[in-house]
Amino acid sequence: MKQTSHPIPLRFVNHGVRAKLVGIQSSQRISRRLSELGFVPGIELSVVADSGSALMIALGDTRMALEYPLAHALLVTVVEQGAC
Amino acid sequence: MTTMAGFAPQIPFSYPAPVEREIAQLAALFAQTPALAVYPARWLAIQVLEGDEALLAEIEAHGGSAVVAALNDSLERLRAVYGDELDIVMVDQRYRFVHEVATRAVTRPATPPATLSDRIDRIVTHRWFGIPIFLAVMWVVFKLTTDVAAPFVDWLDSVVSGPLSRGVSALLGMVGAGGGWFESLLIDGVIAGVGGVLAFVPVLLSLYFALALLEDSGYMARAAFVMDRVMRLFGLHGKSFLPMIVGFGCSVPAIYATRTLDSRRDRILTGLLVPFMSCSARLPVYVLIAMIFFPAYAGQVIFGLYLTGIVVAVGVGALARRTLFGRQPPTPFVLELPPYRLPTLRHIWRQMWERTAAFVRKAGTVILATSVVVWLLLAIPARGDGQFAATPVDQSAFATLAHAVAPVFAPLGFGNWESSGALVTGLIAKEVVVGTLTQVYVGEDAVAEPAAPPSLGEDVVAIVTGFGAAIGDALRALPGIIGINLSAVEAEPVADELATAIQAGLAASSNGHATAAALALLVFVLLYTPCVATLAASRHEFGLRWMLTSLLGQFAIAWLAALIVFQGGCMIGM
Repeated sequence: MKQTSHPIPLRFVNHGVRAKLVGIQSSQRISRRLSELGFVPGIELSVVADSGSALMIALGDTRMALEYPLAHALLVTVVEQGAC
Repeated sequence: MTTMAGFAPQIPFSYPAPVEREIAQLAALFAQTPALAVYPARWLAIQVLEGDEALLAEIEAHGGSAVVAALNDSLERLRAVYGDELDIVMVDQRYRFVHEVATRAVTRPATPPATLSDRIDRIVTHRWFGIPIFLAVMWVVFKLTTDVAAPFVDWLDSVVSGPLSRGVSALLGMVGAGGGWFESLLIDGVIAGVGGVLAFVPVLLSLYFALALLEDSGYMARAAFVMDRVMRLFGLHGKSFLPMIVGFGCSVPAIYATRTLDSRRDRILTGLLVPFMSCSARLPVYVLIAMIFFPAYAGQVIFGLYLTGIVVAVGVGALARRTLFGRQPPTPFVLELPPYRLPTLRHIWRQMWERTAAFVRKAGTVILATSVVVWLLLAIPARGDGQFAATPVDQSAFATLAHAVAPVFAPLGFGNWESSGALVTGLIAKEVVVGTLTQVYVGEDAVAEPAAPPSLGEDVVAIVTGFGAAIGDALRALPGIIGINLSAVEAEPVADELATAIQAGLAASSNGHATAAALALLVFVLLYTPCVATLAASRHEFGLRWMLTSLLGQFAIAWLAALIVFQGGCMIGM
């Protein structure tokens, strides 16, 4: 169990690591769209897969494909290192 | 729904107090503004506070200065409290509400276990395995639509051209309408044209079976995720992949499917590229030509055509986004992936049935009309001394018309009037190419019928045993999908009169390079201007200018590509 206080972009979170969303660093239009899809601060998420241009994110029961630039805009703190 | 009312008031929903105050003020103001009366006042207040640009613009245009000033004051006050995050705060409040309702109603483990879906995704959407898996899936789909469907195609074809035509002919003879132009219209026009196309229903059933299986299982969305990286080569992203794959079924729904894309640039660019995805109407043409010229490699040739369409789309996409679209950036790629589900046979069957039925209805209307027009053109004598419905094909009005167009195709190796005439009618719908070829080639020898036609009883027996044999052939072809060939003996070419006639026609028009000409013809059919229905759809969605761009651009691209294939093929001695 490791708690990082420093937020990092979701893009750099490894497979299977649980992370908590702390903020969205993007234009208002994109932040709004992402929050409507369930990317709201405080929610836990993890990376399921990486296609080479986009990440598949587990967000509760939802699985969401997000392109790299968006994964850069989502700032998270790591909650728990996964098994992978 | 009536029971819902009992539950609703128990968990009240409201935004934080400062937001609620502004919502109430604005809603009261909007309610008194007639120009905004079409919207529910509270809903409108929430939308504009969240920053909906379209509605903001509307209020600025029609709301009047007092409303605009009040709105700006509200936004100012809220900005002092929440900074730039007002919209996120509001959405967050909704999610909190949903979350609260859900936690009261549902009990679940604190850490959700990795689901079966996730375990499958670890392999299927793997960074390096993902694309090979996708290609393997597509390969199985195309084997299914060629090898497994082929025996049924042969069977239907023989039923239509044999017992059905004979039956109608006999029936007309009984009512005293046999032998004349009416029999010719029915048999050579309607039955030969529509029947020739209907014989490909098995191909479509198997294609739609595969598409429904992929959609219902949840794999289609994964394919969009996996293919996102590839779609970036087109200047698009994974979401455009969905219209593109629908395009393998039919370009018309694919063009309407572009509506799900977020920006006009993405919609138009996808709409321009969709017709290069080889639609199912082109498949009958490929099957016919490939079976005649490449009987042993028909599957590979057809798969190659599908790939060629994709490669051309990549090129056109790269070119279009540099020239037509300048510097407009693509919109970000976000897509929800449903969990994997076991498809139900009932739903798959319904989709197969509905989509195939839509095709058959088209065959009954557009294709029927085309077949009749082509028959008329064939029946009207333009030269020589033939009479109506009794003129040799090469002296008909159709031949005259096709002769006029043919020189355009001469450098491509298929400048004979039969091919060019078929391609022109293919504009109505691509599968009509098959119908027209059948009409112009087989219509010629329709008189050469067996001296003693089989009886009705013999016909029925032949139909039933033929169907049984087709099932056997299809079952034997199944293992071939994964590379096991159980029927190595049957390398029998399609040796009917149509095959010989097409072969002879192309050999003459290409100075003996019939194979190269056939390949060029296939590439041309793949790439040339889509059918009128697609043009209508693209005009509806993108406007006249883009429709014309699509029409002319694709004709030019198809002509060039076919030229390269034919000249290149001749050079390597095909």
